[in-house]
Amino acid sequence: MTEARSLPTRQWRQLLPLLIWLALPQSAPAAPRIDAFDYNTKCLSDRLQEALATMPRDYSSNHLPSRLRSTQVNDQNAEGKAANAIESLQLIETFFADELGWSSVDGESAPMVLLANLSAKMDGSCDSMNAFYMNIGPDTAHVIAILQGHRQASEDLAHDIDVVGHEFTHGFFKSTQGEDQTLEKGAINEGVADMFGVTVRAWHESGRDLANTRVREDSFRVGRTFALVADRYYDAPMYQGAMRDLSNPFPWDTADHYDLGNQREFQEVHALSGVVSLPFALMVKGGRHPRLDQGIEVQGIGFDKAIRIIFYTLKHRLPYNTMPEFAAAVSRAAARIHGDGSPEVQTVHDAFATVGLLDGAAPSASNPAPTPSDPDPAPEADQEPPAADPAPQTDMPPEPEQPAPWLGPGQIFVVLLGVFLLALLIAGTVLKAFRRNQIRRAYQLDQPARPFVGQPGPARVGSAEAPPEPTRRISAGGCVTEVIAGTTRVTLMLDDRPLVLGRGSELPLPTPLRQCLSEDPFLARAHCELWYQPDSNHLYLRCLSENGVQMNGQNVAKGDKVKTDFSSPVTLRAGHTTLTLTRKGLWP
Amino acid sequence: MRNTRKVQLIVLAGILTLGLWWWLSPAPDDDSSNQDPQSPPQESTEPTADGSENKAPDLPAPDEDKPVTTVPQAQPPTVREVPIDDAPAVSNPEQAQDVVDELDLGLGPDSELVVGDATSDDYGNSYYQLEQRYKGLPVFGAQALLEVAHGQAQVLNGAWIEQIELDIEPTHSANEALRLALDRRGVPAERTVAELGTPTLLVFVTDLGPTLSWRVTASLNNPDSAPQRYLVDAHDPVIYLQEAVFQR
Repeated sequence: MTEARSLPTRQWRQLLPLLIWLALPQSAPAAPRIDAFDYNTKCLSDRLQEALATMPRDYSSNHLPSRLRSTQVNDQNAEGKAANAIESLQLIETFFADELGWSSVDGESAPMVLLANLSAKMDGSCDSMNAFYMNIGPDTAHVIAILQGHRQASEDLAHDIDVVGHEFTHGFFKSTQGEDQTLEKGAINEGVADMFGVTVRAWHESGRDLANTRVREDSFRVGRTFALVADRYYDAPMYQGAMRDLSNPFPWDTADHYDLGNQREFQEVHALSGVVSLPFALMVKGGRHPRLDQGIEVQGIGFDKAIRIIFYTLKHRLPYNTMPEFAAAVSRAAARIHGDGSPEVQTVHDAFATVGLLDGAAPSASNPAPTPSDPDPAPEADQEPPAADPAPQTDMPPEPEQPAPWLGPGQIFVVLLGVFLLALLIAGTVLKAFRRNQIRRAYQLDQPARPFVGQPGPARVGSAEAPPEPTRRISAGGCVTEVIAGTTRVTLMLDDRPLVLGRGSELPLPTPLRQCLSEDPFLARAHCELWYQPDSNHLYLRCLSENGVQMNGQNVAKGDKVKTDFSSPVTLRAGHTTLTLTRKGLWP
Repeated sequence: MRNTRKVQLIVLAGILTLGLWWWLSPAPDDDSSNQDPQSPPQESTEPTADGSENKAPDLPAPDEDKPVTTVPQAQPPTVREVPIDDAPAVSNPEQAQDVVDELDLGLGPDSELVVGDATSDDYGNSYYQLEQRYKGLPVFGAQALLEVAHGQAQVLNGAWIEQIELDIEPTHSANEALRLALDRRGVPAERTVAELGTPTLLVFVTDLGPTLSWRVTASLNNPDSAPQRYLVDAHDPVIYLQEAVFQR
């Protein structure tokens, strides 16, 4: 009996551990280890960065630099910015694990070092406005740092889930894509990091359910807290209060077309990343290129399908070295998940075509949509297209239009120069005509004569039918001038009104001078005109004859006006007559 | 007076000629807007660490307008597809390797595509990852997938370099090569090099051909600077690629 009882008892004892294990609630695989450090606003030196970078992947506390070890915190005792950083990183890790089945950055639960509430030596100085991921190889530690923003700021960069997600995704990218990185591949890395960053935030804001993750008006704006700190503590406001916008990258100095990649300002990984992140935004929400109208309308497929296609591309390492090859790889991934010729493939194709990475028609349907062999983890099979998900885009703030200039700087210069010359020509012509009319009116033969010595007062010369003398202004003064022409010597009163010299008998000149001039057949009837400016003591001459005049030996052509200082005698040569004019005094 | 007008006319004609020359000469932005993004890589125009800028400009540009490039540019191989005839059955890495070895890829006697990891999805597809090795060294940017659908190999999809011929005995150690390359750039000798981790050799293909290069992570001292990842020629020390270890 006793023996009969002992057998079942022994069996029970053997089965007990199994029963206890079965009775306990079955928990999910353990979350990867996150070792967090609150560095208390201090600056992480280059030496410490080196020490962290060279720690083994599965480091122990012995590997931690002593200066850092004392600052270790956990999610129970962490406070402030360190607590926020831990919470955000755990959130990202949960997204990758629960939605994508990917544990930690490498898919194999690698431990992560999280540095928070610090600044770090970057480019020679301590930077507080940044976040970074660091890993130098498959066998070394994965380090994520969320810097403090500003020592005085209560706003915390860790509040930007998209920024923390961006850094985590760098780890995912490096683990799957390896170390070979050129400019284009680096830009793809940045673009993919932004894709996952905005997706995790949208997922969090939609109740942590990827299948029902909604598109909001600001879903694609990255780094809003970052921009807030920059504005409030560094007096550096950022455009539209964000670091970047995946759905409209160009206003943030980020390329939105592959052609821009050749421009120097876009030859930096972040600045070039928009070429691949914009198509992702279009895949999610649909629509057109925000700046370039190419007639391509992308049908949105929502966050769920879009991010799973990207994840598939990277997880299975579909090969690419350039951006067009990356676009082809993503298109291939969409075809693997949804079938060749599916609407999702068309969406991917259209989205990448808007930025110049794909062209031509999407591949036609040759294979039916694949059926998942395991329905449980099926990512897409039963999902409703999130047609109603995208929030109305009407609330989006208007984006600045930046049409391409239709004239280059050289062309604008030539056009402006042409306009200027034309205006100059018109003004010159008008002024010349005006001046000619003035002269013509003033020296028409029937004009009243100007006064001269021996004929005090305005004398009328010419025919009796001459019109009545118009009112002339009174001269402010002039000079008494002695004129010698051969043996003739007369005195003229010169002022600022022109006096005409010539062969014409009607000219208001002293009789001896008029007779002298009339005998020279080489003189024109009105050969030249003289006047005197008492303010500057200049004698002016304008030639009215095709034969020209010489003034002190200088040739003066018809229509030209010259002046000379009248302090010394002036010699005029008109026709065959030489006149010497000497100022004798001023009047009145 | 007439001389003055002549001078004015000459000056105006000169300005007009200058303006016309400016008008007719291509603006710097025109280069990119007129380029075909799908065009094959051509001679480089910008000294950056990527082959992307090597798109051939359609506009004829005189050679003297190009900036002088002193560092050869990366020329990663182009992705292509090789269909697998008869869709042989593949269910493990050894079978995948056999299928790839049967293909005539023009790799040459010392080069091979080696199967590494494999992944599979929920739709019956498996992907066998391959890396090109030249005399045992990895080739930068050369990776491929043997795609298997429902147990049958369909296509080899990836990028690899054909007919590499290279002396794989490095003339300089990684530290030496990096120091010499830094000397060429004028970095003072007192800025000593501190290697982080173990440098590795690889084949890096530039627009001048394949090179034997070191992939080395190092930081410079005096003053200290953040760790950088370098790709430096092991025979003729030139830094082909350089990037910060931390990614922002």
